[in-house]
Amino acid sequence: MSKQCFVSKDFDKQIKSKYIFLDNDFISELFQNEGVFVETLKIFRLNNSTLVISPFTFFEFLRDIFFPKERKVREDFIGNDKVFSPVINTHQVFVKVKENALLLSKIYSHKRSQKVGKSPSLVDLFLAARVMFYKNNHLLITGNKKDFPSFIFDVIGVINIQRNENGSCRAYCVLTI
Amino acid sequence: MKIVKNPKPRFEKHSKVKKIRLSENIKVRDRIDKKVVDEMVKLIRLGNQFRQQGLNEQTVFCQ
Repeated sequence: MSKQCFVSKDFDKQIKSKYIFLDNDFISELFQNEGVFVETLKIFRLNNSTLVISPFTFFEFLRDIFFPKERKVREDFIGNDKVFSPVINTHQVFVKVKENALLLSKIYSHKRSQKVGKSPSLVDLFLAARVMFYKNNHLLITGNKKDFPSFIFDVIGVINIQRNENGSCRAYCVLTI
Repeated sequence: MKIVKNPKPRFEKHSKVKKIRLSENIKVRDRIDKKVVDEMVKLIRLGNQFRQQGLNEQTVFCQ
């Protein structure tokens, strides 16, 4: 099988020993393509990084599934704590995350007032708030960079994933706050 | 006082023991990873199969 993941320069250095939150689009990419999953896991394991799932991403990954068997398989996939680590979600943490989400939404609305554009979804807002809560040693991987704007997030690396079925290539950004 | 000629350095034995333990740990870790990866790959294949099946059923249901 040919290589499907291509990473930016110094990618290993950037992700070394970090906790990395995954956006739903990246998890869905892993869930659809076994080659990409194996390659990605290898990259993160070699650099001693931990893949982390936020509760809202967990919810987004499992919502709107028509076929019950598919939902069960998805639950087993995302619930495997040897690959994806869940985060602490106590009431105290949630209250702080909610405050961060509200603060971010205010900043977004002020920054976007001059430009025409949609504000990010509730799930993306809470994911950003969660990264903001942990801040040190935590990163985020997403395919929708526009939902995590540059005035808050910096891109420190890129993973390009080539899909074998149609030859298209999609970029996922590694962000820090 | 007893004099020991050419005493064997103590660290030699310890370093050997440590080396064996480390290599064993790596082997165990690799084995767990492979098992986990195989399990996840199986789920990905099933997921792809069910997604297609779900799409087909949903199309029929909506019609």
